[in-house]
Amino acid sequence: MPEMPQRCSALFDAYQTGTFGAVPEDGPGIQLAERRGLAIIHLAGPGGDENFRTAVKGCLGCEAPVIPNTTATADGRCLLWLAPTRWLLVSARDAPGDLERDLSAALASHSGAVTDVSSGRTVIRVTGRDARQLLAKGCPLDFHGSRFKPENCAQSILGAINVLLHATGDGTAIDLYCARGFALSMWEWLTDAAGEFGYSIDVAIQG
Amino acid sequence: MFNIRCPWCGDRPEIEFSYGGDASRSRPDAPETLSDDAWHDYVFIRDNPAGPHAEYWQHTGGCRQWLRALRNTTTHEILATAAPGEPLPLSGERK
Ligand SMILES: [Zn+2]
Repeated sequence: MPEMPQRCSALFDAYQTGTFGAVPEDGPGIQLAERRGLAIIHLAGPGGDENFRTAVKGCLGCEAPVIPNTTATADGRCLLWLAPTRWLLVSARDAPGDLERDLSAALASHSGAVTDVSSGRTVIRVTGRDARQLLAKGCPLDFHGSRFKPENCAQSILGAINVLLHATGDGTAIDLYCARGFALSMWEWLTDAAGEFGYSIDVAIQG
Repeated sequence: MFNIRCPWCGDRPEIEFSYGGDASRSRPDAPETLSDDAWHDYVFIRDNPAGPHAEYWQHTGGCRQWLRALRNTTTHEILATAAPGEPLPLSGERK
């Protein structure tokens, strides 16, 4: 494979670390950080087919979840449910090309499709005590902790932009995935809407 | 705004969905034998009921699956939804 050019964040020109907005005495209510350098792969295949599921698990170490809007994580790799036959695979520890090649090989004798979309998605992590309040301003999902739970995911709309949300870990950090072309618009929506809570922009997360 | 129950994602607001047209018509089984009048009726003629109406919707802002919904056109109440191929309760399909 020819040498690929260095990936450049879609937020590169707008990304300025620091603290902004109406910060209350107990500190900013929101932290924003971009996750960079992830391998992101779109997987399509028959989720109900045991052979397909076994091949996916054998390659990745984690199951393709069949329950809508749930995720499965193993060893730094995460599969997020998108549709009955669609998942998004996100890895912080693989190079995009390697993971696409390995998964394609593992599924060679199955029906399915493996597509590297690493350069096509921007991932923004939202944390802080007001994170859910912030997202509720522009997204119609129910963000109550009993409805959008740890390791849940959901596709919805945030400020008129299609978005995939993932409540990572214990659910305090929510990762937003959007198409690269909409990343700056989403960033502007987030930083505008976060002003009332006070927010910090942290150093971008590698992986 | 009203909610539509996606068969996969559960209750979601209408702004996540796109309307896909009348779901009460079935494509004729043998189009080659159809008269012009019958084709005209199938392609262009639609009921405009005040009350329950079977419709296609797509969860475009979510899982992107197609579904059928029975919507009361006077109140916007969604009476039932179903995945394609699943029976839609109370649907009153007509040929
Ligand atoms: Zn859905």
